[in-house]
Amino acid sequence: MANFSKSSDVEEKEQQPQQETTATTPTPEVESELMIKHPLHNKWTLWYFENDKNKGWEENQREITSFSTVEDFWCVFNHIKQASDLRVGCDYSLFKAGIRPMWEDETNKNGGRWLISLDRKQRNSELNAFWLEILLCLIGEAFDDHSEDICGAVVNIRPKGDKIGIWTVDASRSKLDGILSIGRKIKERLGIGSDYQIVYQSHRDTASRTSSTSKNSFTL
Amino acid sequence: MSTSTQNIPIRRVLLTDDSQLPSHYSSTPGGTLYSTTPNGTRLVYDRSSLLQLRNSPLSQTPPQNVLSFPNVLVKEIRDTAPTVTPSEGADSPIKKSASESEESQFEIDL
Repeated sequence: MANFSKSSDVEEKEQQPQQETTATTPTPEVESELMIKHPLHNKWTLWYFENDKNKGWEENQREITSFSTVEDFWCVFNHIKQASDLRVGCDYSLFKAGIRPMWEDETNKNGGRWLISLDRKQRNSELNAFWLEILLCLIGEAFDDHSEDICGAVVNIRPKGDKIGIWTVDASRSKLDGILSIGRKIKERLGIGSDYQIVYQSHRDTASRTSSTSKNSFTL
Repeated sequence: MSTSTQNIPIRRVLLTDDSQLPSHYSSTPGGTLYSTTPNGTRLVYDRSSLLQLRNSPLSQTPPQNVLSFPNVLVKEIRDTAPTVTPSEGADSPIKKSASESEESQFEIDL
């Protein structure tokens, strides 16, 4: 159902002739540590949204770069601004390569998101730590059996309070177990207690702005 | 659609040391990733392994296509004028963006 184009990952990993040759020659430990990058299970794409009113929403969504190793993730993360330093109205999104960070995408259209709503004070305290933790969950495949159901994550910088969404592929009832398992893992990794609720909404509900009491909405 | 009913089994492979990495880039710890499809291995990294790799020299270089990033996204380092000293230029060309290295090499040649 959810096709995350594994074949392109294979190609990606085989297109690394330099690493291949250095690895076959016996090298001291330090040197090999410098040479080998750690492959990720998925290739990920970073997107940046800037609210330019002269352009359409989709046009404002820019694909920045893609990576498929742990080190290349850090290269990107270490060189771009923290979420809290983005201008109000901007987003970062990290999605599996081939999935666009929008409801309309074929992989997202039946999906939904776990939503973490932060209050304004948390921009300077929790926001960056939460976002990094979510990124590490994604690239490290932290959701066990349900990692296949993950599409990506978005952080919205907004005047009334920032938001972090973790998008999954299928918001239907039949996927409830997986959705709840992902939600529990998010709360565990972020160290969020029972006093703080996160909400799951299907994109269809979000798009039509129906209330959070609709069928495909859960809280944890 | 017939494949959607089959879960991908997961075998966790926890790396504690780089020496546990296979010598070939096309293989994965604990076996080759795709040779066992459909019972493939999921590459799982826990948070401490990921955070540890943040300090690797390989994690410090600017992304290859950093020059195509929107300027507002890039941390201040690149916004400042190239102030690379000759010694830095000789020791760590890898850490600089393309434009900076051109400039500093020119100075060294003089």
